Formats: sequence, structure tokens, C-alpha cells
Amino acid sequence: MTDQRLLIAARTAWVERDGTVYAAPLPDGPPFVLAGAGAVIWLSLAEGGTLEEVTQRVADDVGSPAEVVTADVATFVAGLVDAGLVVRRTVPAVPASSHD
Amino acid sequence: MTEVVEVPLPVRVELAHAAVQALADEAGVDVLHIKGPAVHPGLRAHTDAATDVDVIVRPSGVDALMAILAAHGWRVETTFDAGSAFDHAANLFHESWGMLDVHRHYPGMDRDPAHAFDRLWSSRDSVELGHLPCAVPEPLAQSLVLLLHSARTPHPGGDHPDLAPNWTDRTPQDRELIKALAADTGATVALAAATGHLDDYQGDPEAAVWEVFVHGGDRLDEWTARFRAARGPRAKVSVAWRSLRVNRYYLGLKLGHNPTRPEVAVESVRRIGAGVKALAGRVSWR
Repeated sequence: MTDQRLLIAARTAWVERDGTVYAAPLPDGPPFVLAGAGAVIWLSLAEGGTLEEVTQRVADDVGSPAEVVTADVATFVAGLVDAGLVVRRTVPAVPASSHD
Repeated sequence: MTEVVEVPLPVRVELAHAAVQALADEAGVDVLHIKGPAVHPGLRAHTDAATDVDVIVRPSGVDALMAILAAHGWRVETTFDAGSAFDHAANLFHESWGMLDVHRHYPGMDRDPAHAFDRLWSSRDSVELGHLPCAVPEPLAQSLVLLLHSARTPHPGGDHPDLAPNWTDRTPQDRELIKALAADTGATVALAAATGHLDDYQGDPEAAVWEVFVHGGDRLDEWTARFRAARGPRAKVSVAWRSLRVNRYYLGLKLGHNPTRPEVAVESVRRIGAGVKALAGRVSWR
């Protein structure tokens, strides 16, 4: 069993300023501006985790049920991956029994 | 979801530090980030005032860094020998990141740049700029760097704002440590210029260079002082030659276009004529 975790790419620089995130692929740029919901999703993603975990954090932040934001978060994250700012890393899932 | 729009200058500068670090890493070159957001909190009141990126590069890595910068869209605006009489920094521009100053040595620490860099590198700290780890001088060394910079940029109507946090307000013990670092990096006279003690070095040829900045002077004063400070005939000839060389960048600004070879030749003859006459009247070759 595997999980896909979302990570900010090692060659991405980013700065959060006054609620807006500025993120740039290194070394050439240019910087992208992520405002509003985009910044919320980025900051949730910066904590790491799967798409489901990121979606839940965003839902908690904006005070909406997860199912309401799921499609928008998925679309936005796909855009970040396409831009090279975020990568998906496949890691082995921890079997439930290992927590026993 | 994303769009390219105006990025506030302080944010762009911080991201640019990260971009330069990424290229330095790729080239395997050591750089120290100085000034602006690289400065330790408290040593400079307004880090957001930075308009460009400043790095000091290990002298042996200058060519490699300049090559990788050029390969990634950084355009040289002024070459190392086109700026100040110290020949210390090249100025570059990038469409995404703005301005960058690459220092191959630091004015005041220029007697043995490799040793000075080693000294700063051996006690370096690291800060995250754009969430990328970037090497910076440790805080006392940052103070020395800022003080040496303040010595070259007199502040009209009073002390340079960097003087208080880096010298006046520091403890006597800190000031002694900064003096010791200055001695180790060949910056004793430059530090004296920054802290108002240049008179202690009257007669020292190096002091003449800093007097130009502290008390004012033109480019010829600057070159004359550099000539006096140069040690030995070979170094003096080098300074004299460089002082007469045509600066293509500034000639281009004056002409409004890239100078042609004949235009450079004409300017060379003019400078040599004027320069030899002026230097002959103002300096001694001993």
C-alpha cells in the first residue's frame, strides 16, 4: 500500500507576506503570487501530508465541510504540481497494525 | 490559480537571494549573503530597504559563479573593474529577480581576499531566505561588513544609521572582537574610518583611500589615493593602468549607445593624456 504525499519542491523559494504567498521555481523564476484561498492552500500544504490531509486543513481554516472544498483544492494543487512548485512523493503507507 | 503580477521589492529581493544560492549550490561555489534580509535582526533597522542582492563569493569561485549566473539569464550591467576604485563588485540584472552585486572581495578586506573570505566563512551562520538555507557571516562579522560599507557611504547630516547598532550601541567586548576580526581581515584602517578614528592612522597610505570617502573627493582623488596605498612598483603600475583604462559601461552611458572600437580608442587617448598629466602632478612614485 502506498500514499501520495505533497511536498514543496526542493527548488522552490517562497515568502509569505501579509497573507499572500510568493512562490518561485528556482533558479530562474518567475515568482507566482498566491492570494486568498491560494495562500491558504499553500500554507496548509507547507505542513506536508496527503491531498486529503491538506484538504481537511483548508476546510478547517475556511470553516467549510471538506467535501465543499475538495474539488477546488485538488485543481489548485494540480496547478502547483504542473508549475513545478510542488511535487507528489509516493511513500509506503504505514500499516494500521504497526500502531498496535 | 496563479499569475505573474507585481511582487513587492522586499519579497523579490529575498527570493532573489534564494535564486543566487541555488545557482551557487549547483556550481559548488561558496557565497556569503550580506545586507538586506540577510542581516541579523537588530543590526540594521530597515531590512526592507534593500533594493538588490549582495553576496561575497569565495575568490577561487568567482569565474564559476559568473558563468552559471550568465547561463541562467543574469546580465552583467557593470563589470568588476567598472565600478569603484576597489574593483570589488560586478553588478548584474535578471528579469525575474532584479539586481545583484557579486563581491569578489570586500572593500577594506581587500589585501588578502582569500584569507578574508576564509575567516568569514569559518564562523558563518545560516539563515533561511525564501525558505532556502543561505550562508551569512556571524553577527559580529556582519557588523564589520556593515561598518566597512558605512565608511564608503557617508551619511549627510550625521552618523550613518548602521553605526549605532553595529558599533556605538555594542558592548566594549563586542567592539574589541570586531577590532580583532578587522585586524585578522586587514580591515583595521577601514574600520577606523567607519568609527571616526581615521586620524589615528595619519600618514598610513591606506588611510588616504578612506579619507576620500570620509571627507569627500572625486574619482581622481580616489585613484590617487589608491596609487599611494598600492604596495610596490608593480602594484602602483597596476593601479595607474587601471585608472586610465576606458570604462566601456560608463562611456556607453555617456554616448547613449554601446561604444564602437574607434570611440573607445579616442577615449583611451583622451584619458591617458589627462590622466598622466594629473597623476604626475599629484603623486609620488616612491
